[in-house]
Amino acid sequence: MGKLFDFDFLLEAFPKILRYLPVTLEITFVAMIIGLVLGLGIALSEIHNIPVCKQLGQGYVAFIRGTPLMVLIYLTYFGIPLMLESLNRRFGTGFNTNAIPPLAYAFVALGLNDAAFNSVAIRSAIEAVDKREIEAAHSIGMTALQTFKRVIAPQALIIAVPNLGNQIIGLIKGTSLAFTVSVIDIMASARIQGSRGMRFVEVYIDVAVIYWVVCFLTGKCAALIERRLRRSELTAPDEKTLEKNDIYERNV
Amino acid sequence: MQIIALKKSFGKTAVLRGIDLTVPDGKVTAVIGPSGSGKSTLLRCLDYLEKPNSGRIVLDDIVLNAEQPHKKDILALRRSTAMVFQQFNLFRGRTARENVMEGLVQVKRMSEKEAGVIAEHYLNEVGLGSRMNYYPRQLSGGQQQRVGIARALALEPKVILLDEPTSALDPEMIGEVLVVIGKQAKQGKTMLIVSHEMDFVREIADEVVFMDDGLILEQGPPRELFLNPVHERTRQFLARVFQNFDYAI
Repeated sequence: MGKLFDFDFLLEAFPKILRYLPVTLEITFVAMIIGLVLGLGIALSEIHNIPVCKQLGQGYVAFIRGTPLMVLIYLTYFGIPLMLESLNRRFGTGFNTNAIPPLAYAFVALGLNDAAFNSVAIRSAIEAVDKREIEAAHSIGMTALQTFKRVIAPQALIIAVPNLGNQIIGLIKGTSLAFTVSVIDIMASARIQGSRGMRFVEVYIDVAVIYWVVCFLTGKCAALIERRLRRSELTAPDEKTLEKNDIYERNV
Repeated sequence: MQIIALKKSFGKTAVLRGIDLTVPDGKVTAVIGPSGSGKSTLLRCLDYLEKPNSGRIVLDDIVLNAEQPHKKDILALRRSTAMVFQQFNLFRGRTARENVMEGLVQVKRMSEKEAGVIAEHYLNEVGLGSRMNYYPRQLSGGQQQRVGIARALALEPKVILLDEPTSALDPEMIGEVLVVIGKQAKQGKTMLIVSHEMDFVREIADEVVFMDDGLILEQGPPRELFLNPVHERTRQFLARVFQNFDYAI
């Protein structure tokens, strides 16, 4: 009888799976950008009560929230070619739906999914900004854009970073569904390695370790960014500041 | 600054029911009155932090018509006035110095260096030369409000609006803030101040305005208004405020 658990196989498969980490990171990164830009747009249209955009945004968020990611991925995978094909038939455009790389579907599906959740995080962060500081900015004659850049965005960012960090972690884990549309990422590669040796627990442990490390580091990064942004809110003045004061007080 | 027939209501509640007031240049005008009389709302309308429903605000060549406000006029009005808030409203992520510099760099387009020099000048003016690099949360309430005053002064506005600048302060900090305001008043700054500090108002104001229920009931130099109020409501209000007031001068 063969071994129940083959540790050597686990070690052997690890680098083969790890080789596809860049694909996982690429999907995460592109989807994150789509998610942030679209999410910010939806959040702003809701806050500023922009007609049509606001309702569309709300409907969109409600739809995404209630739809499993897997369903969304299949919908884009089968839906986008269908849409392009109907354009082809109606307007004689020459889209070649077979030429769309599977990665593109993963970008779109995960980006759209991420945007909905980001918009909620971004909106609540912007709404949590101290109204008194916004009034102060107006009172000194700042334009709306200046107020957003100088007062609202920096504070909203601090509030949003922990939530957005969690979103990114969710996104990284979500990329593991990309194999369903034949993207070869670490998950797909693990499946391939597993079927090659008919040993699955080993490869899934490999892939679990990789996801865990990536998510752990992402979480750490988010915490670090948050701490950097909060610098000014620490109680004690930092040493450089104190030093400047000492010099000042000595000179007075 | 001239305010003409200014009206403001929140929903069905009329808060300002037609305010006409001239704020003379180089003088201190104080607005007093019971809470809920619309004093703060009046001041906030003048900086367009509240949107008045009708009436006009005229400041030199700026005419803001409340019924058709132009963005350009709102911005011009805000840039010619400065507000000192009850709750200080400092930028918490910025040091005292950066708080004062913000308007100079962003709005007046000064270089960081120029703005820094001016900020230091005005922080010295309010006695905070040694606290330039402190963040608001590292300062006491009185100190924070003095930063707020320095921020307003540095913009060299035509009119400084002070909205109950000492109401949120502990009693022992009120003095230091009033001293700073008094000093500026004596230098001939145009001010419109809402305050409950009657002794202070009596001392620094050139003109006192009594507001009740969204209207100006009475106005005059402090001596007249405090000693010989014409209106019954003014008398009641002053009697309540000066319960232990000694009329012998």
